[in-house]
Amino acid sequence: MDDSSASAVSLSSLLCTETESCLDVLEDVSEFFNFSSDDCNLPDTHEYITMLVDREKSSFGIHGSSEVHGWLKCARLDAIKWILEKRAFFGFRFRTAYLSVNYFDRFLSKKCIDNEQSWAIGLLSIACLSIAVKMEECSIPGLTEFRVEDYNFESKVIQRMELLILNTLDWRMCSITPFNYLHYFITKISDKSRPRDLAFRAVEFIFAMAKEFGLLDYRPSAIAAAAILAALNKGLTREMIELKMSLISSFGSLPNEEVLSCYSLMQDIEVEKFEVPGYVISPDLSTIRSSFGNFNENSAITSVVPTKRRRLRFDDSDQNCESEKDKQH
Amino acid sequence: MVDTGGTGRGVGNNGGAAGSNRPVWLQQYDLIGKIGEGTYGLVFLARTKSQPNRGKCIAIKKFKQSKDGDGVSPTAIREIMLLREINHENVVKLVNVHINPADMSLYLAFDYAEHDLYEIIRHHREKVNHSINPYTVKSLLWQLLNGLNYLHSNWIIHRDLKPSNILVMGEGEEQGVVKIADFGLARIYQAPLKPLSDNGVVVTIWYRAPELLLGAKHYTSAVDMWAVGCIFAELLTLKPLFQGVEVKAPANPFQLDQLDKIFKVLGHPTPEKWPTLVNLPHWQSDQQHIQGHKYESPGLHNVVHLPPKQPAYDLLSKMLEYDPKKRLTAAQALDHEYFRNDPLPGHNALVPCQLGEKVVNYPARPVDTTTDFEGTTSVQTQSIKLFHCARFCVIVGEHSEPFKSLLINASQVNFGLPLLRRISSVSIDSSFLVGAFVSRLAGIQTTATVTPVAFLHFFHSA
Repeated sequence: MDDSSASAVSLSSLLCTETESCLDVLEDVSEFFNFSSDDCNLPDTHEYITMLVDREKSSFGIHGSSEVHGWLKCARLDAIKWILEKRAFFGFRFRTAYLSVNYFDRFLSKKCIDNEQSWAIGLLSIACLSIAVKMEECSIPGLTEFRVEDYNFESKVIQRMELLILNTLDWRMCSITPFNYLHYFITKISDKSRPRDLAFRAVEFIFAMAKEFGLLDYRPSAIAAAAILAALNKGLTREMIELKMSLISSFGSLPNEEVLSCYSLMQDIEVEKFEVPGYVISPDLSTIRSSFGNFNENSAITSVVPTKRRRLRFDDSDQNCESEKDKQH
Repeated sequence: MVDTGGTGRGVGNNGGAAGSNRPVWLQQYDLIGKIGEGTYGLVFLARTKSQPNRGKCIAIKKFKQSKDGDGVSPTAIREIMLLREINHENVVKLVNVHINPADMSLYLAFDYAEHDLYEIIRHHREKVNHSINPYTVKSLLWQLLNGLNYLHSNWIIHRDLKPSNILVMGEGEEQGVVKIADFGLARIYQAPLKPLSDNGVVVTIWYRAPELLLGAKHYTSAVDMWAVGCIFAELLTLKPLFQGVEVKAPANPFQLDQLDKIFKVLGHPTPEKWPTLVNLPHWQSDQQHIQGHKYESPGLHNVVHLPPKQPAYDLLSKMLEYDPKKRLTAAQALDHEYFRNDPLPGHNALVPCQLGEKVVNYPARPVDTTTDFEGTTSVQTQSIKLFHCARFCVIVGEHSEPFKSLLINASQVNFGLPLLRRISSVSIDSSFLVGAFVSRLAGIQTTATVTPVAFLHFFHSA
């Protein structure tokens, strides 16, 4: 589609990841409630949030669980890292990346991919991201621009995978995400001194949570609330959390227990993850460069058939902390 | 709900019917013919073969294949995804999604609606020569608002309401029931909005709200209410209320003529009445153009022939409020006095409850029985024929019969209605197909009543 503008976006995000990401978070979360906006009717935010919570309640649980084990757990982690990397590269919204992971998890909860088909994980990642981009983004890159390492899939193959995903997920693609709630919750919970930083940190928690535990076990509203609380303060007591929650849920139906358990999971994640701070949001430039190199290396391969049957992995320059965990598997 | 022709087994599987074999999914229908064509693709009429709904009419919409290398078209994903979330009496019902495994094309099966407001209005204007009876107007409007209220309360904005997208059920249990259709441009939960001109989507500007014409970036449900106001007026007068001449250019160009048509009837908007007006891009940048003509007295009541004190006029004027924040919402409109006065709106909009009212028999949708599903890849061919025909018409002269049929057909293309039977009878073997020509042809697609002379003029000047 509009390739030129897509590459323009990606270039800027390549050069100044931190600032861009901050703006992106702000845009992601405040887009709907753009109070300074010139011309639109202000949505009744309370009504909107109530509608979302209701919808969330009626659809929650039908997507199954996102628990995966063994090689799939590692492959999933790599897939999420790849999705986040593409998000940064193309300048997509965080919501787009989140939706991709949501599709990914829902697909795996319905269909099996065995070890022999590890290339299918790469194809699945591409197709999930591509669908999410078509749902959320204004500027949509061509399919061939979404390359995974080692494999180069033809557009027709990706399209077939897209259809398989859409079909498997029964075309229910407009899942509610924590990003629908973030801004509203932040204005309710925080003292508004630095909402942008808070939103930014909350997004880190949301994706850390996505990597570690999957997205189908908690409601998006609970994840959003827990992420903001964790970003606000990792040492909140139960009472403090309940007090904060009472500020948000004037409409009553937020699942407090879920928020609490989600929050405690995030506390643990934080301790682990922050040995390498900020990877999620601002990938190191060297990572992007090296991935770039790999694209070129593999550009000659055009078959669906994997040339190397090995698990999708990021190269060593990827300074993530997963190597320790990988050894345990 | 969704089927893949029985072969959706796995990744990379390209099994299924190919070549001349009919795909498995298609075998559950008897194809009757083609009933429509638009920028999105083709629409066919078919009957179900199997129980429990044997013989039931189904409209099957085939999506045009997206550009090679782009995968499943974003429009298809968004439309189907939305339709899956929707369930309301006054919104068209998606019965099935079929994926043709051979070429990965997508077919949507809907409950078939025999009529639409475009055809109903046209029938009154051209055939019966009298206005639509007040009961029918009120019932159609009420049901349209009822469906829209449902959409809006689910945070869905339609964005492309126009008479041809408002369907009305023919004979049967649901006779005279309104169904809002065509969600190709609709949005939910604030997904980002592409400019309307993207993907070659041609959207008529006649129903476009003034804030959008002035460059507003954010769509709100108020844009749908503006369109409903325009449609209401058209039901009353049988003529489009604001028939601007569209500027055809990429990236959502400034539509001065459309604004001018609006100002002529409603007067100029003022920052006093519409405070956020001053923030709109075109109001600032094109101030001279916009405010060049001065239109003093608002003449809406003269145009729609309604005394200003009538509830119908009051309702209409509140839907056509400039300031989107002050514009009536669907819920407020449903509550309006107009709907509480006699005649009360009814379930069957086409047949009044009171005896003695004349019932108009609207014609059935024409079906082009010469086109088969196998000919479904002929969208391009048809368009090329149309262009050739236009070219031919220009050569042979403006008053030729094919020229007139071109104009009729071109307007039908725009409204997604049946067409081209006559065009295909004009066979011109020409290899002319020039880009500029295409866009100019597209230009006339929005002006159904343009005369051949005016068309030629536009053609040369554009």
